[in-house]
Amino acid sequence: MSDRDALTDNPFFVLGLDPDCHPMEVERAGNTLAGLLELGVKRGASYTTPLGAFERTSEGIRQAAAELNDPNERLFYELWATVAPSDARIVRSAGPSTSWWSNG
Amino acid sequence: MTTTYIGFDLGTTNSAAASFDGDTVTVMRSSQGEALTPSIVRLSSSGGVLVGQRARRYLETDPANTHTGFKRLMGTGTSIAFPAAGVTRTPEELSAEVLRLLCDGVEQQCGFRPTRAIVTVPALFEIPQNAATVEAARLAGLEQVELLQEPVASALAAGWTATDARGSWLVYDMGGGTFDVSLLESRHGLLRVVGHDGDNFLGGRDIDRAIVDWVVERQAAAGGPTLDRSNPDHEPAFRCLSLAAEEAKIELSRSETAVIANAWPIDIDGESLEIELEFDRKTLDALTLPMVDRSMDVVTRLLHDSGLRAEQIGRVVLVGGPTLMPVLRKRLAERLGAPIDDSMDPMTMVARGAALYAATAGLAASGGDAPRRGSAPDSATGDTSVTNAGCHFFLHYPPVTADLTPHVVGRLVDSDVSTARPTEVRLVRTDGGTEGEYAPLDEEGAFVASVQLEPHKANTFRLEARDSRGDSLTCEPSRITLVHGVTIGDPPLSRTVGVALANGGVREYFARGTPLPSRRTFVHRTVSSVSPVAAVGSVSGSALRIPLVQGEYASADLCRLVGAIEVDAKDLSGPLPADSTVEVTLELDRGGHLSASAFVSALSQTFKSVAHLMVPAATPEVLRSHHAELAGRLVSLREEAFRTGRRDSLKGLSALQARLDTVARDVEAAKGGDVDAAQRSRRVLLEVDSSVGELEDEQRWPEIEDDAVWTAAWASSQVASHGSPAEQKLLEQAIRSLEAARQAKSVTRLKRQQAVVQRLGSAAAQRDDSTWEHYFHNAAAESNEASDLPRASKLVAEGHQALESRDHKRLRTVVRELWGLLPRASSEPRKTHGSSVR
Amino acid sequence: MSRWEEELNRLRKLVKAKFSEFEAMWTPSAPGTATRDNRPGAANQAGPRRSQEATAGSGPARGSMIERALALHWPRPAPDPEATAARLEAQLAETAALNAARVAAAGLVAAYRGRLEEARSLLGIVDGFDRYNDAGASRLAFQWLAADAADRADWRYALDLGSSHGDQDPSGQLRFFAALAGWHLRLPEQLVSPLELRQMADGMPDVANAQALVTAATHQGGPVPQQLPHDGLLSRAVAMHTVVRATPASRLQTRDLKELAALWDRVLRSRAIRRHITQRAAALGATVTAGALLERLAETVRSDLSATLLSGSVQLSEVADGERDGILGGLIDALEMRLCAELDISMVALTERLDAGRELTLLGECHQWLSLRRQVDRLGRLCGASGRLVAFNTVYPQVGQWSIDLWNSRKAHSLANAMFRWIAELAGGIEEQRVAETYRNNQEW
Repeated sequence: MSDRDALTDNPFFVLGLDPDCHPMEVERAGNTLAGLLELGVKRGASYTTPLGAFERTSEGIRQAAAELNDPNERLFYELWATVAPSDARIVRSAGPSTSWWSNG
Repeated sequence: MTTTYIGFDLGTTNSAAASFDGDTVTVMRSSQGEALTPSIVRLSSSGGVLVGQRARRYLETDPANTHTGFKRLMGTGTSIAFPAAGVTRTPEELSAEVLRLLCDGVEQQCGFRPTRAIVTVPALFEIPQNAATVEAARLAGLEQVELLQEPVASALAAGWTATDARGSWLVYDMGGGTFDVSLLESRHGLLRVVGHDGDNFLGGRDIDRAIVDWVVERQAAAGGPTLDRSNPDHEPAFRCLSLAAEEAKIELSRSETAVIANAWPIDIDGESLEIELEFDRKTLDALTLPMVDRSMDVVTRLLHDSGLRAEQIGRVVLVGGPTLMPVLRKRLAERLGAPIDDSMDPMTMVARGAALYAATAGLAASGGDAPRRGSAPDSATGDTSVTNAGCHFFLHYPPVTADLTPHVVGRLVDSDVSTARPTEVRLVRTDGGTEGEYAPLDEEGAFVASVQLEPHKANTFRLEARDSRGDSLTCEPSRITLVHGVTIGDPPLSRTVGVALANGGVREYFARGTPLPSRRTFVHRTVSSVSPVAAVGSVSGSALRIPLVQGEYASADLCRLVGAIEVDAKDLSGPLPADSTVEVTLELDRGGHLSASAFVSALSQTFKSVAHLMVPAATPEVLRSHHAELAGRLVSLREEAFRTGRRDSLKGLSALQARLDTVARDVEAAKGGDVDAAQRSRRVLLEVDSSVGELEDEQRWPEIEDDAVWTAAWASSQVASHGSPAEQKLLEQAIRSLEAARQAKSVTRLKRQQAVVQRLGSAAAQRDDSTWEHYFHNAAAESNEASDLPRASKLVAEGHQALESRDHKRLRTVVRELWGLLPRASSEPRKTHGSSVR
Repeated sequence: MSRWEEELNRLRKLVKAKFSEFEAMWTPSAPGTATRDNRPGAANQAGPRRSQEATAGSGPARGSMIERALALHWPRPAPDPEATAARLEAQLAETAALNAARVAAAGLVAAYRGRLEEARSLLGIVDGFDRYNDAGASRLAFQWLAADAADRADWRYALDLGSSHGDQDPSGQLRFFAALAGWHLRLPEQLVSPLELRQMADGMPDVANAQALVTAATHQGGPVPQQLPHDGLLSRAVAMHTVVRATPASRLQTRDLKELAALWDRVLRSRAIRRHITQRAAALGATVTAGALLERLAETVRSDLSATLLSGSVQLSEVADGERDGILGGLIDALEMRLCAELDISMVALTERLDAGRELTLLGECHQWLSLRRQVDRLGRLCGASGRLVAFNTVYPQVGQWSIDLWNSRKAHSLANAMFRWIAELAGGIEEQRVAETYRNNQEW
């Protein structure tokens, strides 16, 4: 699981949980989010990280739950979740879209 | 209406089925009345098929047309012959026959034929073997099947009934042909597979085999005919003896002595052989212990990898027939010290766990009476939608959960125009317990409601909705059931899957342990330019090849090739320059079923065909030469260890030698037609190869290091005498990098840096005339190896003249020309499985 | 034999062993020396000519390849641009004389097809590709590159293009993009007044949304985060890590990386953090040690940063040439390993192809060289002198031989010349004067 991005794939961000959550909350959040996603409910569709919002997928949810159930993995991601997703004040400036030739 | 979930344990020796209805797990009797169905299939001359117990008796009388143990050949592409009927069958087809019989049993007892089920596989089954199992299920008429690893199933079965299931426990599963061990952790009712390990080729049959070897030895000692495994004519005799050995072994689980006798006459090279040997528990124990110890090595490795000590194991669950042997239990207790849980039948535990898992996965056995799945067919949840009247909801909830206050998620599909739109929903216990809170529907008509479960039972709830005025509305579905119990996380992948690269390395896609299903995409780059029109002189065939491998080794040739994406030159829509990006996506489903695709962005083309999804064949010739090569390398390693006085490495070498000796026997058996032994030896040879490689690197290191240090010293002196200040600075940098590589003990890096240092040194040295004199002497000494000898000797003479007249300009030219005639070191070809990406 | 003699013998043996293997690469058939004899004399060369552009357009769009390629990018392209592009691709693939105009045409077609990376590489070598120095083709290439740099917000490159080649571009486009870059990068010495910038934009009929670009440049606040949240060392490091990752690769400064790496080094050394991890592990029931977890943390940091570095244009040579320690040192080491290994693979593929005598089209050969060139440049940029040394050592002399074969057998003089020039520059950069000299002499001008 080492090639997962510690920030954008951080399981705490994916499941919308605090780093000090109870293991049962992981199980519950996983089930609930999978449900929202499957029923096409908008509020389950994306999650926030300090690097912006990302699309939630069922694999991502399952992987996140598995990671948080593993104490070694959980501890690693806790270190990266010290910055809350709400601290996402870093805005990627939208590059101007030039086309080489004018469109008239 | 009750929902029924079915699980199948498709075993090497025996198979079983179980059902779960939300409350109770029941082991299904087969249509032949047995809980265990022998995994045996017979085809008669008329083409009639007999399976299970009915086929078993023909194992003795008609072994050529009665086969068992075919599970071990799944995914190998082997054909199994039935001479009487004059046909061959694949292992998948034979497994399908067994599954079909199990389905008959379910139909008789449950009143319906299952179309969806869980089928278990050994945890260490590889991708082609998993694919073959899915194919077997499909052939047996199952429409939807998910695979579950056997140890996960056993753990779930054991955990479901355990009252105090906290802490770590070990599932020791010794089947007929495979050995699996899993370490599990249970907390708050959540079961997690911490790790697993095993040996795909260790099981009860190896014990039978040891007994047979003992019989053969005794027989030969008594002056009887010599039985030879490598002789294909003796194969029926060995089959007969195997059966006798198995019977004696089972008998010795209960009594102290038994007799091994052949049930029918054995004909050896025209001579009839009658065997009747006294066999006692002590002898059996002595024969069994090496196998048990081999399994214990795997257990120790798993504990070590998971950072646990034996005393931290809370309990041990035993699964599989051989675990009934007293010697095995005794040895396990001695080595682990943990209590052995024998509250459950080790023979049916896997099937029970599979049925329980079917519920967790929401995989109801038939379409008619079960909650249907929602929009995502892969989801492991109970999704319910109904379309008849009132407010229709899509619901999503965990059918089985360890959570006492789980959420039920719902979304309004549509409501009857005549009724008002619901604004709130709640779930009320049907047994009169507490009423839940109303949960509001959001603008999308979705809600998340919390429910409270009674522990360890099935909990049924009624769905209630009301509109903005508070008026109750009828709901569909009207009720749902959630079972509180142990749940298990997604099954982890047992072996790392990746893509072989053009440098012989591997890009890991899914690490061992990745929860399944999973999907990953990585970007590779092509190493050569390819063109749809074959370029001048180019070979035809695949223009782009992306090999898919399975295994934990960093070197691709040690990993198993399990498939490849191959793109034919003619299918490319345009030329593809070197360095073009190729996005490769690999996808594994829950059962370890692999699919792959490659997107070539420069051409906007996607390629999907995966070739060779098969365990590679292991021919006796290839095995023998691989074995011989490894034996030779081991001899060199041992000599080197003695020479350098590195006694510490000798122990490791002996262990490898012992493994190689075992393989030698298997290679012989492979020659006699034992496909199973062939596969096993192939696997072990790869493992030994990897270990030998590591030891070689380790042994060569001091020499490599020494060499590098000398080069650095030499280059320093040359650059100090003849180099510019800028060169000196560069050399300092290069030596620093060399030093870093030495610290990191990286052979490739050290050699690369050494070449750099060497170049700087020789650039400086070449400004000195005496260097060229030195070069000349060396080149002259090797001139007998030149490609053009007359020319070389002429050059040598010229060189001597130049030396005498101190014509250094001429000498340089002579040396260069001489070099042109001398052989160049050729580089070793890389073993890359033909990869064309990096 | 005395100890001294033993040592001497050993050294001799070593030197000999090394040399016989190593020096084989410097045999008379090796690149440098052979060319002088094999090179066609000037008398055999065709006299200067504008270009031998094939005007044999069989379709509706007639004209030179470059003109037709350019037409693909016009607001209202010629009828059936797809057919034009396909025809151009076929012609370019078969071309037996690759010159600047055709390389530019290939680049423009690649851009039209959306293969931007390829377009960048090709258009990047147009200037001075052949001896006839096609100023028109170069100008066109620079204009495209500048617009592309602006698109990617690679303002540093846009600035470079403007300052180096702005004079050659009467349309003023290069200077315009450079001026925009000055604003984006907030470089006081590069700033023109907003009014001037607007006037420049008015004179850019060929640049889409020129005025909007001016507005974006002069108004945007930049990606600098307001304030790093939290005071703890770890959260500061994570926050800054986030900032660096969120910064477009082209805007990342060497000092940002150095600062971040220093912060991570402090985290990894911090006893308090180690203690925290140990306590937390006990609470969670984790078996991992603080040391192992911190090593994983360091590995993740290195891997994140290496992705950032590979995609951007940050110069690390200065750092790479010093002591390589801490996060950044480890990162450069790891990058060097990786890039060298990749270069090895490319070289093996090239060598195998050349040994097997499999020729590509000239454009194909050009692509393979450009791919190597990118890899070598990256090694130098990120790993400093040692990267350049290893890179040169890896590609030379095979690439030298390849360039000479292209000259001799395929008569691809312009391409071979471009390669000679590159090899000479590479060799010069690592004080390999003899090789540099040879390849400089090989060039036609």
